[in-house]
Amino acid sequence: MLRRKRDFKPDRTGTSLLSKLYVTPRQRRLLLKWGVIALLTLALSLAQDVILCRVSILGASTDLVAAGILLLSVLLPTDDGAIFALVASTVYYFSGSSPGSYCILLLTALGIAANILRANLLRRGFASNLLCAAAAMLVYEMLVYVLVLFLGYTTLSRMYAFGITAALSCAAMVVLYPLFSAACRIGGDSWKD
Amino acid sequence: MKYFFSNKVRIALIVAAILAAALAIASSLTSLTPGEFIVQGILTPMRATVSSAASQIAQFYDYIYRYEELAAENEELKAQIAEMEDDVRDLSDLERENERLRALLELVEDNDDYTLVDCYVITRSSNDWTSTVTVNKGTSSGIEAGMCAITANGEVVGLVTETGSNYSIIKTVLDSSLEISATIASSGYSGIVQGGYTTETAGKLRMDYLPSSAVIRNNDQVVTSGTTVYPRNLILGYIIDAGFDDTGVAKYAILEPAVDLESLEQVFILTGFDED
Repeated sequence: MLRRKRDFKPDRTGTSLLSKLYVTPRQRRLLLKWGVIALLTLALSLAQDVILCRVSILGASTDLVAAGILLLSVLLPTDDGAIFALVASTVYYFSGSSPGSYCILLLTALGIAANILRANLLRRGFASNLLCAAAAMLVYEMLVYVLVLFLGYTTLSRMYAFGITAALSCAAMVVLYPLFSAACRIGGDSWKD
Repeated sequence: MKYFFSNKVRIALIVAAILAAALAIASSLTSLTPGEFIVQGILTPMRATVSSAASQIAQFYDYIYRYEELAAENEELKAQIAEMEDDVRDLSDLERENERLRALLELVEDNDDYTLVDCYVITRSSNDWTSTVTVNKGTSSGIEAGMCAITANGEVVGLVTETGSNYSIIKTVLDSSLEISATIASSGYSGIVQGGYTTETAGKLRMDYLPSSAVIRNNDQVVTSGTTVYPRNLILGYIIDAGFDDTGVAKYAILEPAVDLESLEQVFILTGFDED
């Protein structure tokens, strides 16, 4: 005769470190989510600074970090996206890879704008998220080009390079979307719209 | 729309604007802000690690997919290096010849009665009882046995002992069978210089029959006295030691030869000179 499976699990006798810290399961998932997002952004930064900076396509390179920040700003809830864009763009500036301190304001403002645009006008989905993030990317590159031209660091003939950078970064967003979307869904969906 | 401009969003925008302005001012005043120092300090080792890994992967990729191309490029570069090494050797030879010819020009200008035939050393003696060198010119160039051989600097190499139509054998000053009448340039004392090839002073010259009252100094130059074979004032060597010979009535001196036979490349045969 087979033994019956026990109906109840016995109480745990010891406690783990996380339980000693009084971190709830929801908080743990939140920490995990932001940890994964931070690691992904760091990986983007390393890939751009070490590998992709040597790759030149039609005379231009990608701008992965800005693309990642804008895409995440759209995928995350508005408040979280705004804070993330602010913090990430500040770290991006301090990393030495950004075009200047104005990128902090540009990325934060454009990330918020893209998020609000998507939430107000479009239904949540792959195409709408990507469209808004790509539009923000194009505007960002255009504004950076105008500012850099104004500061005298480039010439009018280099406009096409900024366009190609924006296009390549938008193409990179398509590749990065599944990864970032999965990271943002850690802990469950939390959109307000 | 107003709902989305919550306090957090407004604060984020304001803080972003302030940060952008403040950091722009800070970067114009200092070269590196504390934030940049911290963030770049953390990122630098990570970048170095990723860069190293990327280069390893690139090398592996090149090895796998570009092997034949790299091998062909390697062969081409080896051939170029070999060609360049040849050019460098030719250049070195030309430089040395240029130096010798300049010295020879000075010698000829000081002794306008000299008639010289230049030739190159092709072999050296390989036995233990003679010291000879063979040069690449002979009777067809006017060289005869009994002529003396010198360097461009006027140093005595030796005496031509055998000639063919296109070669000559020169017995060097180190050969023990060669005796040359010589004078100490500073004091005028005369003696006979003989090679020490088969004696205990191998590689040196020995000057005998110096008067017992001769004052001999270290580094005194010894030159030829002037005979029918060797013109006057050709350099034989420099005194490095001296003493009384076995009889006790004459002195001798040991000389360091002026000519460096090991590195000798070009020799000039004196086919004619004014004995006066």
